[in-house]
Amino acid sequence: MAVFTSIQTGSWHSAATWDQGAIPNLNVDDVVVAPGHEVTFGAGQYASLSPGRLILVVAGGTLRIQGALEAYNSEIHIFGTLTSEGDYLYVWGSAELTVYPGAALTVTSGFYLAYSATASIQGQMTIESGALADLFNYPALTLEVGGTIQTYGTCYIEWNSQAVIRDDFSIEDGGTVSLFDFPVVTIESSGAVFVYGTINVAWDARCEVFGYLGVASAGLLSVTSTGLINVYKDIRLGGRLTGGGKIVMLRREGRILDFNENSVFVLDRAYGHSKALAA
Amino acid sequence: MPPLNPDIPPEVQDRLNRTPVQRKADLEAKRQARLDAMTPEERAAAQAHIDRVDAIPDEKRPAFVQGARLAVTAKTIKARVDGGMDLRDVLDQLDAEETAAVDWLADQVTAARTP
Repeated sequence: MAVFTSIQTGSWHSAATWDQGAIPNLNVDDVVVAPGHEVTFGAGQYASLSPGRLILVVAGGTLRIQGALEAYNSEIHIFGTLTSEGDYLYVWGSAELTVYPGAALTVTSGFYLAYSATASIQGQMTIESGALADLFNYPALTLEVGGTIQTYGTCYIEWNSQAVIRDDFSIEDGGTVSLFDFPVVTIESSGAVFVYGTINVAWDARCEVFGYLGVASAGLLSVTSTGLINVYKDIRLGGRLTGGGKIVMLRREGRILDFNENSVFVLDRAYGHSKALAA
Repeated sequence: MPPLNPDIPPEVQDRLNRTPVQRKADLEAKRQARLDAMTPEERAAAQAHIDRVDAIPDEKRPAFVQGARLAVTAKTIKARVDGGMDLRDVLDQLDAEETAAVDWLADQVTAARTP
């Protein structure tokens, strides 16, 4: 058991990259990628970070995962840059992934958060075009104040997943976020979801909107089947809205606005029994 | 161990200094707190997942990961088809490369289950 710290840029699987003069064994070793070093976990390689083990990427350091890395009941701390660009990064069990302020997690291939694992995004997370981020089976993702998530690819939040949005989450043109099969996504009062692409809320998915949810003119909000959006304040609908699910306005003061803050509907003053009038 | 970088908060340095057993216990305590916040039904279902995963031998974890990806996809498609979606419509959305991969998997599943 040892802590392996990078001493230069290079391959994960080269002994010359590490201060221990050997290749780390993630069953028994911890790994630190030091500032100024770019360590590449090569294509075709696979490793499992065992329970209680830890990977730390220090500010200014970069870890590029071109193979497959799996973290089970373990910890990944990112102060620098982590890129999942080969097969996948799979975080599961009681594992924790933390992207600290100023750090970046970029997914160009696959990212999975599963089986009650947690992710705290305090820096920048980017899901690139063609990439997949998949949350399933009771994981929890929190976008903290100061953090941002941008998706140009595909994001599934499914099967009892939870996501809490406390800052800016943008679904860019070409990006899709789909909620289905019992997930709960909460946009807290400090949070904002900007939809320039597509968001699907379907099949027993629930979205609680205390903060900002805005669909731009090119965006699509699809609420189908038993999907439900509870709006506690306002919602901005500048794009398309489809589906047979429900959007429930929970407060008389709530407004349905376009993306430029103009009212789309004006509600009658009669509390709880009003007809909606087109503005 | 001295601090590696002044940008690393002390609590993360502390994580590095803790033993794997301590870290595992910390993670388990946090997970338990999340479970405690669930409804009894949710907690029972989540705990069942956890128990099942914890029982997997280390050497089988890579296979379990792939099995979990396969299962969640199959469960989702089954739920949609049970809800009235036509499976042919699903398959029609695949391009040639994706169709070849699905066909390969279907053939392998059939072969693996054939005595």
